[in-house]
Amino acid sequence: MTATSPSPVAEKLDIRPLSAVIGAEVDGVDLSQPLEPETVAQIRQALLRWRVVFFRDQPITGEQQIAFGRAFGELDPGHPVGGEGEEYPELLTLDASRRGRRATELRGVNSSDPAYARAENHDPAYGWHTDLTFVANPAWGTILRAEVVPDHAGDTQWTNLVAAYEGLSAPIQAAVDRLHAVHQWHSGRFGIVAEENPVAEPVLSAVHPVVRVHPETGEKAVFVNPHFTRYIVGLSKRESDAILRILYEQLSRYEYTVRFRWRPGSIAFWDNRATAHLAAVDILHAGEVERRLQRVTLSGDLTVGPDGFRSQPLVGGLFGRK
Amino acid sequence: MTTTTREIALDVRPLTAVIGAEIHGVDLSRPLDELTVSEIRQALLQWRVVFFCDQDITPEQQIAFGRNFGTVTPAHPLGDAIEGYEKVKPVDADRQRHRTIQPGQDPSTVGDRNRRWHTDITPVVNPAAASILKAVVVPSYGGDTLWTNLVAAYEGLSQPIRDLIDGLQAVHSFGRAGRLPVTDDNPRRRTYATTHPVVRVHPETGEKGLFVNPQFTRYISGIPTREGDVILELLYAQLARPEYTVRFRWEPGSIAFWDNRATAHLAAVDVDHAAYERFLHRITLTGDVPVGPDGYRSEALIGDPFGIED
Repeated sequence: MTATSPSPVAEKLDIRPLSAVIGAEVDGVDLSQPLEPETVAQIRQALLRWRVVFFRDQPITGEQQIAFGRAFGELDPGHPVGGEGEEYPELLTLDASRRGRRATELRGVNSSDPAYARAENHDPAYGWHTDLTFVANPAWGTILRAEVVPDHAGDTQWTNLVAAYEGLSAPIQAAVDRLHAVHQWHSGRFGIVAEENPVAEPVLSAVHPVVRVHPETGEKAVFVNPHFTRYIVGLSKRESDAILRILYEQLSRYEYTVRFRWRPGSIAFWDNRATAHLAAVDILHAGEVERRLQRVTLSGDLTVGPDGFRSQPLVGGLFGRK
Repeated sequence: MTTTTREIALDVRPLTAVIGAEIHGVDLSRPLDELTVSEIRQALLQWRVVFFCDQDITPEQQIAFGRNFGTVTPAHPLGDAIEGYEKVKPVDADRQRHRTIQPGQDPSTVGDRNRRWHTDITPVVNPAAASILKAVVVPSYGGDTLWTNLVAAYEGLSQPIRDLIDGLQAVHSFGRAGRLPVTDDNPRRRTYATTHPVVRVHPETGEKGLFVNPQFTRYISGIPTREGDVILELLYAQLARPEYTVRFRWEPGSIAFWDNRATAHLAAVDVDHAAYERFLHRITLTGDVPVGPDGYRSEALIGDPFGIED
């Protein structure tokens, strides 16, 4: 902790919504400084209301990012597969250089090449995910900070899973309220690949309620995502695919989303219990770009469904717990 | 009439890797010199949609701006002009409402809500070449518009699928879903219908782009329904992929100018979630008849060409 003391009076934060249902920019706070409880409370309120909040022009260090995160709770120790950060265990570096190389390779791929089928995925919901749902206690929040980003590529989008749930018809809501789904680690293009031996990477898996009751607000939210969810328990494959299709199309509808353009020093802080996000959609079209962000995640609890079902680990234990 | 002269190039600021750019350093209330018009046209062809901010212009000035790039059409083939300006179409929030389930509404009356993506006026044989939309009254948040790059969406398809659709045509008409626009009683549906190529060759750049949209395209002609429906679903999902899109947040005085031959757009996606005032003015530029990769030229089934002065 630095010697700087908190400013004596909490200013009212300036909250500027970005769409009707999700996303707000927060001005009037310096995240390099320790925050007083009133400021932390205001940010938490904005996060619960807008699901993801953004801070601009915050050129803070990794250590300061960790301190900011700890103002809201205990941090995860790195990533269940990617491991601990190099400099600080809690700090995970998301570097697009791997993706950039792949993009370079891709531009040379003829679409008649079999590699093409793996390179492109035309599923309308492809890429949307909630962080870490392959463990039974996924992070409740994620704080992502841009260090180096391209000028006009690599936007991130978030969707409001509460609004998506509320937009379903009552019969569908009633049906999915009672369902549970298996989630599994998957090192696709949007994931983190275990560097040494991708083939031998651990298969982490958990079963979650399809609808999650938000532990702070009591709201119900869709809690499946096309990246980590595999199937719904107790349904035939055909039935499971149909229900998941409805939910994936619902959560990826633009009316529930916000799109954010990063600048160096931009920070996004999202409620991982009420959102899914879609990373860097156009990066493959951007040519040679450098894109590096730093992430910390806030340690989460078991998820609970409207029927009282609590999530269970299937393969691997709880993340960050001995 | 005097025109301003200018030494430096326009300030064009791209917004994503594949579509959308802001243009700064031009005052659209004044006549534009040839160089400026040429640079805006180049930016439009490259970025598919360009945006201007803080342009507090009148409908006359909007029309004058449009005339730099072509012939300004009447407001819409089905009428619907703002009072006093037969070339200006009102776009307001009320028209976009009730496409999500409203309190007390029977959910089975809500149609496919993924059907809002559209290219303007494709039921006519010569859909508008471009649209110019100006924000008059917009909320401080909510009501964004998205555009998608139909050339990039086409190029993202595999070669066998591209080869397949290069030779197909589809019927477009006004009105809600239905395969038989000709016999339907709905007058909006009967007024215009056209067969277009599924892939359009851009008349200026020669690029191939998707030219179907879920709002106006009814069916692919010459193949069985089931096959056509599956292909259209594939193409609709493709054109809606986020990597081909840009999202624009309006402010009063914002202007969007898009190449309607290479884009589709999705209006006011979250408008159902907020009660607010939203009002915009649109003009469109007369388009030519689309041509497919196989040389097929669009054929009107019902209705005359739009915006051609006799």
